[in-house]
Order: sequence, then structure tokens, then C-alpha cells
Amino acid sequence: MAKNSTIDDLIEKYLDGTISEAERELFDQRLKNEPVLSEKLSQRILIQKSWLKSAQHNQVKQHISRLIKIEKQRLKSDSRIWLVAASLIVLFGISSLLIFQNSQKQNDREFLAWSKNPNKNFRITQGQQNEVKKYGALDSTRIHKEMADQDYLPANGAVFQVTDTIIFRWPVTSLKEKLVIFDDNWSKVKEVLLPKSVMEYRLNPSTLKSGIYTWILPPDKLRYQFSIK
Amino acid sequence: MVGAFHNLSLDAEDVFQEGLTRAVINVREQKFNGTSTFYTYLTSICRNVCLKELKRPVNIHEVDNNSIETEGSETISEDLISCMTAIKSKMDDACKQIIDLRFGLLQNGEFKNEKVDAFENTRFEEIAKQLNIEADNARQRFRRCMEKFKMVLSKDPEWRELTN
Repeated sequence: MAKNSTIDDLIEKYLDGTISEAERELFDQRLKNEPVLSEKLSQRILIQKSWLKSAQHNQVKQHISRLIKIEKQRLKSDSRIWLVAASLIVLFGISSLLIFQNSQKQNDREFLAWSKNPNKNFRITQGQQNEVKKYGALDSTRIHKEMADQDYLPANGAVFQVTDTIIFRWPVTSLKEKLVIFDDNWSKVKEVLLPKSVMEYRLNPSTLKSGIYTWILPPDKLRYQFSIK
Repeated sequence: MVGAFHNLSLDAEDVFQEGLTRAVINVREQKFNGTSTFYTYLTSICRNVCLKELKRPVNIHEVDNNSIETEGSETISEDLISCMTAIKSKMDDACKQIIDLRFGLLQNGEFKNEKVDAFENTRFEEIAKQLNIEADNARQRFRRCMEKFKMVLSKDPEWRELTN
């Protein structure tokens, strides 16, 4: 055992490069003549080389493992984004479908109502339907949007039947204080105070006589005309 | 491919990781000369990993010859590395540390220089400084650990078979 330790120490010194020149020559000589020493040196070198290779292998493996982990996380987050996007698309699709179906049912109901009683005054065209819904009863509202100035309703020159509802509207930015309606003799027939929050005013034409009327929104100086038949 | 090997204890990811590790090392050491695609090369290495795991009595070089790519697959050396890794994992940390340092690795187990094959031994004086001990203590600790390690190696049948 002691002899082995001496040989091992000598080998370590030889590998260190701390061996003296004389000792090196002697060592080289012994290597040629002593197979045990030669074998021990070879074994020591083999152990070191395989040890280092093993360390290198572990290092590369750890690095690859880290990269695989990062890639997995990236794929996971990517798939999560796609999942959210897909969910939103599906949600949007379903809600559009429900809205569309509801609107179709409404059309069907109206058509059915009209087909049961065709004499009733239905004056709604398909394209106007949704817009008209905003303004109240479907059978008594007419929207006049043919004029260039679409911010003010009714548009200039609009004609109403006594069964209609006249809806007065104005832009949010207009400086209105009140709504004043004059007849063709320029006599005031209606004056309504308009608080800021009021965005429209409805008038039943049956409260007025047939004729041409002018409406203004003081202090705004714009004037619009409408007539009742 | 992994599914084709029945009773394999490794899953596909383990095989891929091990195969890729070996392939990367071989490419670094220029053992892969590009006569086939990297995919083919990697596949043959992964197949070898599976066969090795199953410990089938198959000549791995024959399998390589059948699978187009034979270059650079130093299977014996890889077996030796695997064997060494397995034996190393059984050692205590203090011994692993002193042997790492002596064999030219850093304290964290990383390489001092990029050239792994550079055969150098760190002097005990330098090791002693790093561990804050006497040089003689470092020398004795290394000797003790090496003796223990050699004993384990000599008792390991796989190591004996591979080195004889």
C-alpha cells in the first residue's frame, strides 16, 4: 500500500510538472522497464480523460435541458396566446350569430304582423328598420335624412302626416336653449325650454294644423322648415 | 422511434436530450463530417441510446452501418463516459470537488478553458489556495479520494469490461 502511495505520488508529481529533470529521466526509464508503473500512469490518464468527458457531457446536457425548458415555456405561452385569441374569436362569432338570429326573428315577427293586417300603415323599409327602432313606434315615424345637414332633424322641407311623430334632434355641440316653432304667418305656435341634457324632442303633429312650419333653436340662428298634411 | 423499443425505461424526451448532447459533443469535436444530414446522424445516435438502455446483445457498430451514418460514433468512449458519470454520481461532494479541481475544472465544475481535451493538472498549491487549506492537505485529500474512486472503478464490472 505504501509502495502504491509512493508510485501514485510520483505519478502526480510527474503529471504536475513539478518533478526535477533527474527524477524525470529516472521516471521515463522506469516506465520502459516497469509495466505496473506504465499501467498505473495509463489508468490515471484514462480516469482523468473520462472524468473530464463526463463533466463536459453533463455540462452540455444541462445546457440543452435548459434550452428545452425555455423552448417549452415559449411554446406554452404561445399556445396560451392562441387559446385566448381563439376563445375571443369563438365568443365574437357566437355573439354575432345570436344578434343576427335575433334580428332575423324581429324581421320575421314584423313581416308576420304586416301579413296578418296589411291594411295597417307599415311604412318601414328593411334598410331603415334598425335606425327607426331608435325613434319609437315603427308605424308612425318617418326619418328624413335626404338633406345634406343630417345633424338636425327633421330635415329642411320634411313632410309629415298627422299620424306620424315628429322627432326634433340637434348636434351635441349646438347652443340650444329652447325649441321654437312658428307657423307660415311667423306666429309662435310652440316654445319648449331645453335643458342641456335633453337631446331630442318629440311632437305629435296632430297638435298642429296642416301647413308649413319653421323651427329654430335660439340662440342658434339656423332655421328649418317642415310641413304637416 | 422510442415507442418501437418495448420495455424502455427512458421516455422520448430523455432519449432526445441524451442523443442531442452526444451529437453536440461530436460536432464540437469534429467527429461529424457532414456526409449525411444532421437529422439522420441524430436519429442513429438516439437509436444507440435506446439500444444501450435496453442492454441488448447487439453490436452497436453493426446497427450504425445499417443506418447510413457511422461517422464519429465512438460508442465505446460514450459508454465509458456514461459509466464514469454513473460512478461519479455515487461519490461524495468533497471528493468530487478535489478531483474536479485537480483535473483542471473550476470550483463550480465548469472548464477553465474551452479546450476540454487539454490535459492539465492543477497544482496542489493552487488548489490549497482555492480551498483555503494547506497544500499537503489538498494532496492527501486527493490521494485518499483517488484511492477510493479507483477501488470503486475496479469493482465496477462495466468499467472493467470497457477498459480491458
